[in-house]
Amino acid sequence: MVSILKNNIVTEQINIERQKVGLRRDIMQINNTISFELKRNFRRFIVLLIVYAGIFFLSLLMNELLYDLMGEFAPTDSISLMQNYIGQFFILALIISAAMFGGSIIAEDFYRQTGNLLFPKISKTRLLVGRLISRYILNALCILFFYVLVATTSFIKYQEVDLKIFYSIGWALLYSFVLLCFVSFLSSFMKNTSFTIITSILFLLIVMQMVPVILSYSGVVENNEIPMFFIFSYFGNIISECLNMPAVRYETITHPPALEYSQWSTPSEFGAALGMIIYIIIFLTLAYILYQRRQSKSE
Amino acid sequence: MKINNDNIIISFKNLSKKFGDFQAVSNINIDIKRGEIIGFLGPNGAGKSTTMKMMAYLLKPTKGEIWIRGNGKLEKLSNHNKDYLLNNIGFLIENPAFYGNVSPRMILKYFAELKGYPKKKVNQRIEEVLETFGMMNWIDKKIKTFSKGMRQKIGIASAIIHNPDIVVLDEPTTGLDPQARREIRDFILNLKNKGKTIFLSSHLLYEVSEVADRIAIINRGKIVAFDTLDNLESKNQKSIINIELLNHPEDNELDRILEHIREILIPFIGVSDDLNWLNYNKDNKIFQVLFNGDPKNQLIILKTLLRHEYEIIEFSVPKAGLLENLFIDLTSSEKTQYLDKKFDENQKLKEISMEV
Repeated sequence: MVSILKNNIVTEQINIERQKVGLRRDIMQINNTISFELKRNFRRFIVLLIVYAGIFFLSLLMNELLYDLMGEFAPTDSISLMQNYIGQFFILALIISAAMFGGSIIAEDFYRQTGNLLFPKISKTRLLVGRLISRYILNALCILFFYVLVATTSFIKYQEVDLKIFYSIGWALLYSFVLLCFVSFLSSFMKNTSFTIITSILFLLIVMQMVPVILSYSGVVENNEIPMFFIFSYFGNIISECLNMPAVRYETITHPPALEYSQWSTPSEFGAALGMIIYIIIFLTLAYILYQRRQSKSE
Repeated sequence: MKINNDNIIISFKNLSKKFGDFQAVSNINIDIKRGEIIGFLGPNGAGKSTTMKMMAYLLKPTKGEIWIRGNGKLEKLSNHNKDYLLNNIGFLIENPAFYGNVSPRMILKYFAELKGYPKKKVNQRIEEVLETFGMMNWIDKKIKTFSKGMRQKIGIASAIIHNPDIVVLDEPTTGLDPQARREIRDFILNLKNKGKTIFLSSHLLYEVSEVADRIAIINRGKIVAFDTLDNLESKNQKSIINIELLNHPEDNELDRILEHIREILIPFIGVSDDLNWLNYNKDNKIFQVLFNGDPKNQLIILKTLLRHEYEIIEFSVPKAGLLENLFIDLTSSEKTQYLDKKFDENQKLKEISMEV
């Protein structure tokens, strides 16, 4: 009798929960996906914390040993210290973590056919939103961990942490979301996770660095008339330069004996914010459309 | 359109799906009753998975409707009610693959919560389901260490974790060893005993014949037969009897015995004499008699053999064998053409009667 009553109560509870449809169901499923993905990506998160720690120690080594020896680039105050640490290998860490967190976001389910279990239970839209949020949270935690290390170093060395560091954190978080959206877009049509990670790292490190140089050197962009809004990695420069605004907008780079060209180095704050938001919208829309259209091998 | 039959839990009405010019599913009409097991049979590319995916709302029908019972009444499956109608269905869509670095507890918890199972009861439910599969010792182990059979069980567990009334299983035993197949078959019967409705697709005819109450055979996107196995068998007018004798015939006397049996049974088999209706399988020492499926003839055949002093230790009609014959018959091209013609005639008759 008691067990029958218990069963009835459970059935009643199931029925109540099942009535939660529409927006309530959207929020509930996104919430469930976030908590599942946070647990599932925990090991990846630990690996990336180690990567960020490694990048920090590499910067520490350069600043405390090499630059001290050379004298010229050695930091003299909290701002220059933070600029040095953030301007060196930090962008590389941002690219690696975005690729690692975003590479599997869509491609994995199609390559491993895990979608056969997921998709009748959750829609692609909710799954994508939940995954983006959870991976962005983990990515943001890695970034904050790096900034904590930099701030601690600044405090130990100069007994102060300039509050401009929060500007830099804000830009880093926004830029990392652009990178995550870009990798998600690649993941929406790439065959598998590894291929997406490698392609996105190579593209962001090589292609995105080479294109501005080629354009500037070849004279296609004459007299620096057009800022390089079409190269989204250009916006990443504001993360370190915002600490010392107004920064140099463009500079002439000389590689003796014959190579000399001018290129845009720092976007304006308004231009960077607008540009990054536009890129986020473009990449997310494309990723969403391709994801919706993509079907598993068996479909 | 209103459908009023309290016993029907799912209804396909003229369900069709076209991919470009290719008609994958054509005018499927099936009513599934509460608590029954429907076997869904068909050769590769016949439209089984497409039908199941339409049911899961992974594909939208080009034409036709799917009606599912929710809150006591049948409702047409559409974008605005799919969440709550599909909550009452558990799907295992072919070849379940899992993330290797998660445990059954973690993934089943996620699936149960996605489907709105009460959070406080989830852990208890996971343990209950895994207990049924004898997998409690593996509940917190990583899935990447599991065998294919164990993964398949987790796949089925994921389909039923939210305690749905309807379970849709697409090829649940493909690639499994006989032991695992039997366990899953027993589990399906166990679900039926709990009052669940099961829609089971499989290539393994024997398996379907063991569990299904009714069988739908699909070929080239069309349902060519949908009935109980007994009715299909009587419509097809063919059955096989397996006979084993106490003393297995020696090679030198086999021809004589076969000739004698042929002589005494020919008046009762009810099929054309041109068919090779009597065979002896030397591997399992079984005589196989093809007859018209009439139970009266079956009894007369037994009596005749006993009267002629054959010492019979087995006399059975294996269902899988029948189904296999039926399946091949119905899905062969000539038969399909014949049935297509019949189907079109029936449709015309229906249309005429509707107009009247």
